[in-house]
Amino acid sequence: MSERHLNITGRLAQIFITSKLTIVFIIAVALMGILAVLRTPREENPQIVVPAALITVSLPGASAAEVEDLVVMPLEGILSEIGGVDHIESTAQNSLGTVQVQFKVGQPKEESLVKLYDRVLASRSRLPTDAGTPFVRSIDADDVPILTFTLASSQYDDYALKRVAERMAERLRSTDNVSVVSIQGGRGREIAIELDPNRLQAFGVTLSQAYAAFGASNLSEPLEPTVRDGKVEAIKLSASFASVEDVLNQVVAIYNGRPVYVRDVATATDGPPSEVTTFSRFSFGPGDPRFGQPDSADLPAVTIAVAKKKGANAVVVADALIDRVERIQASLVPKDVQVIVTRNDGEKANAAVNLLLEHLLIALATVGLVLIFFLGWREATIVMVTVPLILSITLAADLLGGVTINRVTLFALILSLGLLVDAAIVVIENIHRHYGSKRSRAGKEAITVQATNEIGSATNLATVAVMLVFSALFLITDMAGQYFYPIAYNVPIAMAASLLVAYIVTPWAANRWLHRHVVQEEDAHTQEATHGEPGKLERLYLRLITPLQQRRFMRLTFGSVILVLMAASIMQGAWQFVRPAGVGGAVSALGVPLGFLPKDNKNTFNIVISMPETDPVEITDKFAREVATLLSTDKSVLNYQTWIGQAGVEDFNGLFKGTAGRTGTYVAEIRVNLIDKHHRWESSIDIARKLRPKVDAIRASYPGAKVSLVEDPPGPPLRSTVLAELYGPDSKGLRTLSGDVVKAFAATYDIVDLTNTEPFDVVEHRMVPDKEKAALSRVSTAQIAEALSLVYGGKILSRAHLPDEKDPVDVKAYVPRRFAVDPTRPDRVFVGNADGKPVPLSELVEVRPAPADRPILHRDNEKVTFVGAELSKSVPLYAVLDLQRRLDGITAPDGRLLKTSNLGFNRDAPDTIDGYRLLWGGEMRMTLDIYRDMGIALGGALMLVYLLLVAYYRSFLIPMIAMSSVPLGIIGIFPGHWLVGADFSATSMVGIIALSGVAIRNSLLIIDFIQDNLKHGMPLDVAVRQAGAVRLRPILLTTLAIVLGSAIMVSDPVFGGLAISLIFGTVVSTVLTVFVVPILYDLDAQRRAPSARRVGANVTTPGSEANHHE
Amino acid sequence: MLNAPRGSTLLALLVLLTACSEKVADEQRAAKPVSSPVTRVELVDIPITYTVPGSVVSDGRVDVSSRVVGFIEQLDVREGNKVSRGDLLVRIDQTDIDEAIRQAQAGVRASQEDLEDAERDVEKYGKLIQTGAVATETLRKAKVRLDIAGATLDKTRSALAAAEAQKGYATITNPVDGVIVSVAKRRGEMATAGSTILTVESHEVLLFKAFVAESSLALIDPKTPVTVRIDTLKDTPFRGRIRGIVPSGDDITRRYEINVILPNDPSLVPGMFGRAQILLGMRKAPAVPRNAVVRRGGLDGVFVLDGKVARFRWLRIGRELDDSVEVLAGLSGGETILAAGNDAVRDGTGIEVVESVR
Repeated sequence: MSERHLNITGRLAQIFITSKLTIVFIIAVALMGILAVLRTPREENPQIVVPAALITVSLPGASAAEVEDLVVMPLEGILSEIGGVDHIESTAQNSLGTVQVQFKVGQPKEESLVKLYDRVLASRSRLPTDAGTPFVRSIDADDVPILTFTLASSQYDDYALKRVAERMAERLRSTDNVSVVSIQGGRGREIAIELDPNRLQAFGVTLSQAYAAFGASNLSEPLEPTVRDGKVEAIKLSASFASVEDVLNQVVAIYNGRPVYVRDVATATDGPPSEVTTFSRFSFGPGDPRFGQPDSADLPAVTIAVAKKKGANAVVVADALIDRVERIQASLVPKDVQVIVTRNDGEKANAAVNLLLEHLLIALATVGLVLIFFLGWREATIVMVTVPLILSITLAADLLGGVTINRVTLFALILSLGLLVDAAIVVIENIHRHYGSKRSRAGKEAITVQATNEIGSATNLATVAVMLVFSALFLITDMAGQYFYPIAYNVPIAMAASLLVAYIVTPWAANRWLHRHVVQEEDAHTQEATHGEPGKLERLYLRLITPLQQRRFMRLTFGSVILVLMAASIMQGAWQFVRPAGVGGAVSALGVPLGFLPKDNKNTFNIVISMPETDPVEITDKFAREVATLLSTDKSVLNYQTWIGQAGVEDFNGLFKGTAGRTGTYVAEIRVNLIDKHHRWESSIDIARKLRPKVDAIRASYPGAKVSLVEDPPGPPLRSTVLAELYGPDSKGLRTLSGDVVKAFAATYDIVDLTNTEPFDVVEHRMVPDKEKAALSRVSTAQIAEALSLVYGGKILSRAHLPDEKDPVDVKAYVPRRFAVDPTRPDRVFVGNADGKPVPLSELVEVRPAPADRPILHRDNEKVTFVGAELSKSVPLYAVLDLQRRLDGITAPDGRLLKTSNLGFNRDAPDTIDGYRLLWGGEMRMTLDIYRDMGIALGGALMLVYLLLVAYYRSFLIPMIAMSSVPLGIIGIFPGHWLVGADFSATSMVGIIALSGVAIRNSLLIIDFIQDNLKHGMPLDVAVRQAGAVRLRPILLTTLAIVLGSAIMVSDPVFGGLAISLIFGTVVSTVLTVFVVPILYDLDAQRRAPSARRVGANVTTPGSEANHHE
Repeated sequence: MLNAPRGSTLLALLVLLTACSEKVADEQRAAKPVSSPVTRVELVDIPITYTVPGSVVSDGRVDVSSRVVGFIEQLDVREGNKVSRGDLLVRIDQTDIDEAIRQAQAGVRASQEDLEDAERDVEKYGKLIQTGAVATETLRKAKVRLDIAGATLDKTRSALAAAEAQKGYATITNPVDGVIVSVAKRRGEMATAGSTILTVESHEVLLFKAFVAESSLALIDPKTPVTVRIDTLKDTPFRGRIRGIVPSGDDITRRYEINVILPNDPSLVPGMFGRAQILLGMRKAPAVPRNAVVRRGGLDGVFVLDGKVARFRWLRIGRELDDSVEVLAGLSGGETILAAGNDAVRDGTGIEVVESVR
């Protein structure tokens, strides 16, 4: 106890105790903290970097099977050669192959894409020669719009709105850190030439003739300049279409010596395409004050979507954009056009971050109150001052380390709050104790340094143990690893910072503001035990522990009760798997479901509608309208935007689910925005849950329609929560199997939003040219093809050269619906033969009805089809196990048994060597992965801590005793979840890891004191129980700090699990630790040195214990 | 104050908007129900037709040509003139004909003289033979000469008649009531035998001539009436019947000519372009009155009555029927819809039914 051998802790304290550097340090850290809060980008959730790219290769005219063999499989082979590729999903459809490559999570984005480009382009020769150049597009989470504005109006149609939007978008592009500004929805301008096949026929003009005439007339070209009068003068051919009139006055052919104009055979219009195939509309919901007013529903809408650049602060970008839009609105947007912000990730992130900062403050205040109560206000104040400093250091580390301020970061801070005050508490307590010690003759400074030095190694050990435990979270792989990365990063840093601040600032502050006081009690340990309230608590403790120490029967009973409780608690989680009723169905009354990550209460959800592929857009619209009518009755709905024929503005979730960017007559989406979650009682989860049966009722009258109410997942996005990947050698077999699996899914408890990837059969009219007949009529197949493409779909002839036009305006020729030609009787379509005579198409082709080519899906080089579903309130584990039980071993279409797998702790790769296989994917896989990783992390962490303790105590058994407190926590965990009504989730696992740290820390402090007591020459049993009694108060204080600090997290749907595990686990573990650890130590010591037994066996009253020691 | 460029952008934008957007009439409180007649969507018979374009042709088309060769002396009619039967159309120069007549007349006279001389010879030799002054042989020869002279007179007479007949061909009168549709020659030009001088078209029988693809030929029942719509006479369909299918097709274009007899209607003029709809069968499909179809935000549809409120339903409109339109998608029949478009009605507007229109 002298300055001779100061450890690092003491030295730190000594340097800073009177130094001005401390003030500089405090100011610097505070400034760093302010800077970090202001400068660190804010996000709602941590960004998960999954480099992905989409490669498209066209092979015109090839069937799906051909594309599969010639394009998709070679491409898959090429891509598999690249390192770091996680999954390859591909689709082979008629004339087109698309391959989506997903790299492993955390792979560097640019590098991966460069590798990809290199590989694909270098292997171009492995694709057929008539295949198009592979087109590679990266799928980038940074391109997902963070802000969307919807323009809606009852006075203007979507075409007019789009023109306004285009002009607004121009003004937004120059905003700082804005990347992609896109306009979604709305029809563009087009010069449409509606050809009337009958009139063409009457004038003896064939479609191909007309087409050729258009193409050859819209030309402009600079020519070689000439020199006149000694000057160079330019020459230009100018024959471009500049207006509809130009188009109408175009000569198509000569008929009977007279020119036939476009106006004779067609009508031309300039404006939006008259035949609408995609549409978007906007409605206010009952949650908006504008609801119910005229023209507040069903308004044509156009959306401007803005993405930010990588690393930019969404909040800043969003605010700048909104400011611009407000100014634009004042100057150039007609007042009948409403501009509504329909997505604001910046605000969302800001709200989430601010809310959590608020929670952090509340937690801090709570901890502060506890400290005042236990330590007195001076000491409490000193401790509380250290907290912001520690947080500042942590946030500064975030800024430097590229970690954004997001929910997980802040939860990490809240979580560490209880732990990080601990170092300061320990230091201040020891200083306080030393100040009160009579024996100290040294100066105040020296005592302070001495006090700090004294507790240094024990605190360091405990803190390093906690840091190790939390660092284990780095071991979590994949998306979940990225999600929890901020915890793994922040907590150890916060802990380290807490040590630093505790050793630098606390002694300095104590030296300045704490007074020395003389206490009656000389003995330090007893003095500590009676500090604050007179030892009522300690007396209770001693009264309880003494019989346990002395009577074997009590010990056995106590041990058995603990074991029974532990088993009961585990049973709450495990009962579902072993119960007689089977794993499916509702959770039993006392059970706790094991989930992955619970859904979060959000301000928005998306209704994704897929009608049968045979449905025209009008039917899709009808369905969407019926769903929208439902929404208009829900009081929580702020507004909703319907997208027909196209997917809405993409989001991160849709990007990974594969629902973003869909188009087709059968596609619809309704993006529903809810009232801010602080202003409504019902959570979005409940709203969606209530809506589902109603939507289902509507769907019942639309056979084949698929609807999903997609809530943004709190964690990594997935294709489906419950996902069966069916692999097989044959597409037809897969289809049959898919049907069976869908049936099994439908019969499963709590399954909603059932989807599969098997499309409906669309009838196809195959036009097969009769080669002989065509040859005799002197018509080539190419002419037939050209005529058909004009009749069905039309052709873009060229681009009109219009002044002051922001977007290209196409000149498109087509046959309008009112003249539509029945594909079964193409007798009204004529092809001009070599002699210029029109030949009806019906004489040249044979029309055969056939099912349209079905797309073929691949995943990881095998044919696949997916069946997916969501669960409205239960967890996927039970649903999957239930399904697994029913599906494993059913007869596959090839007569063999279906093999199900991927339920192990390691991923299974698909193979179809032994016939059909079912691999469970989705959240199930994610759950298994994360539980595996967490298990490894926890095991690894405990192992490391054990080794650390072995090194510290030079014993193999004592560390085991210290760590015996960890399993005790389990007793609290499951009942805790059950009480709160929460699922056991991945965050609960994180909670267990955190709990382990706390529990070990508690027992370490007890053991340290026991050993200290023994060094002071106390008999073993007294030393043991006195250590418990003395440490009881600080341990309870820490526990209370942790419990109250984390209590604010319990209400959070996602991180609630963490808080529950931590709070209930810590409470139970602490209460039991103070008994179990001393007793185990006692037993162990007795075993090793039986002579130490029972020196003061006859002294049993706690009150006399202190006297004995005197 | 707006600065100049922004002001002009704003102005341009406003002009643009007003020019190309659909303005809806004044707003009405959505709360107040709108009165409107309603109707039920019925499944109607939609004819499956084969539509073939063609043109109106005249059945009585006369190409007037000259039989005689000669310079055209008179040709007063012009294209488009209405002419009646018997009207003088063309006169060919008659000089040659007159000369021929005179020549024939002279021939007749000569042969008459010769006949009279022969008669006198026969009479004279008849008397002299009784006196034996001439040989019987002489009398016989005189008789023969008399017969020949008689025949020659007949010949010359008929030649005169023929020459006089030519005179009739030199003036061409109109054979049918109709219209001059083309005049190929002008006065002073040489009319050669058989070449068309002008064309007269009769309006008495008009045909609709169209070409039918071979594959559709078998589907056509010649007994079923055919509806012909003429593009320029939009509102009046004409009912015709198939007169016949010309049984020889074009082996290159694989088409057969069909003729449809059109009713006698003054508005029909040969050369008009139209379409013949040949009925092949019937099918059931929902149809809605044309008036019920409204445009909302760029979409065509109807308002379906859902309880007491109107719900907009986007429709895929197919063929246009007489006063209604066929619905390809969006309605299945049996729904109650607002019978007439009303600008005040929006999705969700309350409706007060005033009358039901069947």
